[in-house]
Amino acid sequence: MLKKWTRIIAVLSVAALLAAACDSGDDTTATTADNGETSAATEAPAEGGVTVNWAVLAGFYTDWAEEVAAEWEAETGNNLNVVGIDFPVLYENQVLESVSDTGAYDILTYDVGWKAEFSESGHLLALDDLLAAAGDAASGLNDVHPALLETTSKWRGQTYGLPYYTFTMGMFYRCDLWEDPTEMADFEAAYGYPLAVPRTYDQMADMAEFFRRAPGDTLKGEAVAEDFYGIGLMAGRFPHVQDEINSIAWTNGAKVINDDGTPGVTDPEFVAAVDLYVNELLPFAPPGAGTSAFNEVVGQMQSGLISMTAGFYLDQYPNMIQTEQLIEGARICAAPSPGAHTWVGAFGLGISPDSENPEAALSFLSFLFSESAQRRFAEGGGSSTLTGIISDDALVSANPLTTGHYPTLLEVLDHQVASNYIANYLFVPQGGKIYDEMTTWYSAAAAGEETPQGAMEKMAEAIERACGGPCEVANDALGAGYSPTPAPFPYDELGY
Amino acid sequence: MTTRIGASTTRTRVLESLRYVAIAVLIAIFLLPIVWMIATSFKQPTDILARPPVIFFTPTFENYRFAFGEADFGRFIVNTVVVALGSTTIVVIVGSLAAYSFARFNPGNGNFMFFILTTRMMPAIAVIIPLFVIFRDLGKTSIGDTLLLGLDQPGALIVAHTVFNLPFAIWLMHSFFQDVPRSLEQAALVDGSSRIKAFFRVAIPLASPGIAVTAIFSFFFSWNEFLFANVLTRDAAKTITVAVSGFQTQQGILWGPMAAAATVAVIPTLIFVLVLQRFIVRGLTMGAIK
Amino acid sequence: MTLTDEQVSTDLTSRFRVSDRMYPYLLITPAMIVVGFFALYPLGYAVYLSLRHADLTTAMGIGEFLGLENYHFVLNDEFFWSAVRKTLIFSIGAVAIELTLGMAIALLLNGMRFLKGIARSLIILPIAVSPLAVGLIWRYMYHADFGIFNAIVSTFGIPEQNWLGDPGLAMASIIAFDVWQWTPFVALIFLAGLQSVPSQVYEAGAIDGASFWQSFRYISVPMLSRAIIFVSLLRFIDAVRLYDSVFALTAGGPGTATEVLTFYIYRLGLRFFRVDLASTMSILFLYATIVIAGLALRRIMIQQSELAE
Repeated sequence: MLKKWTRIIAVLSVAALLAAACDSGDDTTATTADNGETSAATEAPAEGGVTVNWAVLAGFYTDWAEEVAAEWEAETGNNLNVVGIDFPVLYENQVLESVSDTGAYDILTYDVGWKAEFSESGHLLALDDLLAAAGDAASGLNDVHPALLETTSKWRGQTYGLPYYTFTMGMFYRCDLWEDPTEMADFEAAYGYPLAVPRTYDQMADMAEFFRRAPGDTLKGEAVAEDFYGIGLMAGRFPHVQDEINSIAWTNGAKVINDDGTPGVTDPEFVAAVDLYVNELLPFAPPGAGTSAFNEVVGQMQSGLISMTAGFYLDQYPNMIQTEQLIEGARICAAPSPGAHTWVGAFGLGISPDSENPEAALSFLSFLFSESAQRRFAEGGGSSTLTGIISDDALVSANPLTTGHYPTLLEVLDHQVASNYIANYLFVPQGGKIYDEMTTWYSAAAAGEETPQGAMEKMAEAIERACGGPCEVANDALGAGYSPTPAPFPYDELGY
Repeated sequence: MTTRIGASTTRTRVLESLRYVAIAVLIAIFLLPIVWMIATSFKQPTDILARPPVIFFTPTFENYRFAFGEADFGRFIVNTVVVALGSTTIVVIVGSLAAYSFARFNPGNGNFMFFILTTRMMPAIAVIIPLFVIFRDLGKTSIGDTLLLGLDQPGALIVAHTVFNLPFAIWLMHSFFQDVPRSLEQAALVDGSSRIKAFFRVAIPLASPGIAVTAIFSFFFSWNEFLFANVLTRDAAKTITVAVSGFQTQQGILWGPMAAAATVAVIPTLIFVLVLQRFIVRGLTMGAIK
Repeated sequence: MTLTDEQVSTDLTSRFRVSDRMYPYLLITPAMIVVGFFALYPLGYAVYLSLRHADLTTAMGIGEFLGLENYHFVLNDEFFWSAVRKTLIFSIGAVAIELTLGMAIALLLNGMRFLKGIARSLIILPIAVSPLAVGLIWRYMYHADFGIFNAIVSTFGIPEQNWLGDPGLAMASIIAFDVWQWTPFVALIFLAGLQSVPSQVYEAGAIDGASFWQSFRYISVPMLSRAIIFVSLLRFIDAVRLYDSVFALTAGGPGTATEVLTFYIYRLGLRFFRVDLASTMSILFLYATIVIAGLALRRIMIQQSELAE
């Protein structure tokens, strides 16, 4: 009886297979497929105008985006349709639309880690010709900080998108604790050097250990009622864990992808970085670290649970600074993460090759990157990518609650340019897939499911699988003089 | 003799009250997440990420204001209602015809029915990309355009939910139709009714509790479904479950608005259950499980 | 109204006179068309992809014919087998607990004399809620620092747990969520079954001196046998396809501790766009489910086709 069903299913499957084979010319990847489908317009375009659909990270400064969109609509007579997509599905939703040639979105949002893949796989349009044609209208784009332009925009010598929001890493710490005389004296007595911003991850580990307090211990001379933790970590299975651990590895001089394209994650320095994270930082983090993303760490800071973060997104400053209102006597300071060889990245905006209105899309991008739009973005709490904005001292002093991290951000970005260090992995066409694998295996190491060595071996295997052998590293795009060796961060000169 | 009865009633009473205590504890456990969700939806951000969790707090409506104001939740509710009602209607009509046929005549000696049931076992993820392409292409045809079968249109989602609901619905209704005495239909046929009339006038009314329970479960499935809704819609046809997931934003998981949205997403089905509970139990009693 | 009603059905039968032999097939045609096209076509497409090299994110897209190479690869893929193992742990664990607990709750509810309706209504609420929406709320409740569960266990003096972050505990936490959501459904079906047992049967048992356990074992269980098969099958079929709650609670983590097969397929299909491997796994998955479920279904099917005669 069972056999009979199996046979029926087999016959029917074969029939369907034949049907599928017959029109395989119309499969998902047919590059010549016409893009006749009307875009996902929910509102009718204004008369004479066109509709531009923007796939944007959900809840992302929606107020600001809609305000800018309204102005652009009024100015051009076009219509902008903002489609919010949440981060866990942002990659797949956009790629699926793109490989199916639906033309649903004119403007795509990509993470810096996906840039190479999006560009290489044809999800993004090379913008150079359009930019040249637009001329002055697009000149605001030239002000993007060079560290971000290189990592987020460029691929094989061409421009594929524009970084509109940077989540470059630094770190946050409770400077009220760091400046407390008792704590300073105790720290120096215990570790033999003064308590200051950590310059190496070993120092950071010392400080994490030092500030771990059990109920009954004192902090700033007062008894603590609850556990207090030395560090807040984003060790959950989210992309953030890789930004934390990669920063340690890069500072160690290790690489995710070696220059020859082989995975570098099993190198001793790399495994040592993972080991430091798992065995010297994680024990001093709150128990929730294993499921935390950045927002939980913000919550831990705001509820007075932790003394500092590891490498952490500087753009979270407006949220972090609220701790000062919530915890009496608390002060929050931003600093570069140890060594400052950290995750330098941004969300980029690019234009889909399936877009029917690339010019209008570019016109909106230019509008978004205009001085005035970016200034309002900054005032509202966004982390701009324009050099003119992040180096504007007047802006920073006028908006201490939203832009207080800009000086640190600028230091970190400038250091990347000065030391000419850019991670290879941002120049591998399989970046989006490696990104996903890194999340999995770092999380496995952090959870203790695998040893650091074991997790890195599996990650190396997965990376080779994603690339189908050694990865292609297109770092020739970086040009002459590229030296993939981290240089020391000038702590003393900058007064840390 | 009298004493023995007395003793046993005391024992029964103790056992009876234990039964009620156990049930009360169970109800508390089953309700806790729902109550906590509703409580969270009225909390300020600082009360949400508080340690230990706050039980008494000053309620705020800010989360709801955000969900309905900035996140445009009203529109997603309308979409969800359209999709859930649409797919439930089709499932009930198409499913009851098939279930009746399987119950009465057993075409294909169980093989056709087994085939339909196997589609229920298919992992949705296996067919999502082909379905995406099908609806992309259907949307370009004139029929697809009229029936709103394209991507980001309610028709596509209605069809997808129908396909995944139909097997379960047929299975469920099948047993209800089996319980309709054949003699009653034959009596109707002798009276001069046609077969179709016998189906509508005799079989359908007698199987109605089962049809109702099938409709309720189909509706829940469609209302709560995430994977298809996420991939086949973008913005215009986005449903409430996808919108709830959208509160995992770059500014953090917005727990408050998310709880508010989840509450709004869950309340209609909760009311459904409370109102139709008797129906659900009666339907299941009469059908599937005997 | 009556006129049109009669008119229509008479017209229908006279104009489209369908032979007795074709009538049953006519009735199932709409269902077969819907399922045939929208389920079978994608399935056939999956079979087609499983025989080729297909990476949608590369310019090559769907590539050369590989025969059974993908099957060979998948069957030798340690991550695949690890995902299979996790799926089985989840499904067997969740379904076993749901059946046991569901039966206990059904027995409790069945003996209630008052407040029956309210108790039933309140207990079955979890079946109505969206696993994704409420799963996200559970993620918040499980949170090691801010979650209510840790606050509850610590009031009982139990040390706080890292519910979703501890690889040894994460799967149990997902099972707990599934048990919360589906036990009421199982209980409801068992309750319905218990209520359909005539009370005289128990009375007869009681006269013969049967203990509670004996009457449960020798009266309730046999009477409920069909309900038990039905509900185990239904829950098992759904449990192996679990996706929403993993997506909401752990996204497969920590590490790969909760990476069940559907989630692994999802990662391969929609993250890596290796639709060849994803399809291959789906086909193997479907085949295994059909064989396992088919063994159980066959009994029901045969019973029912006997009934239909």
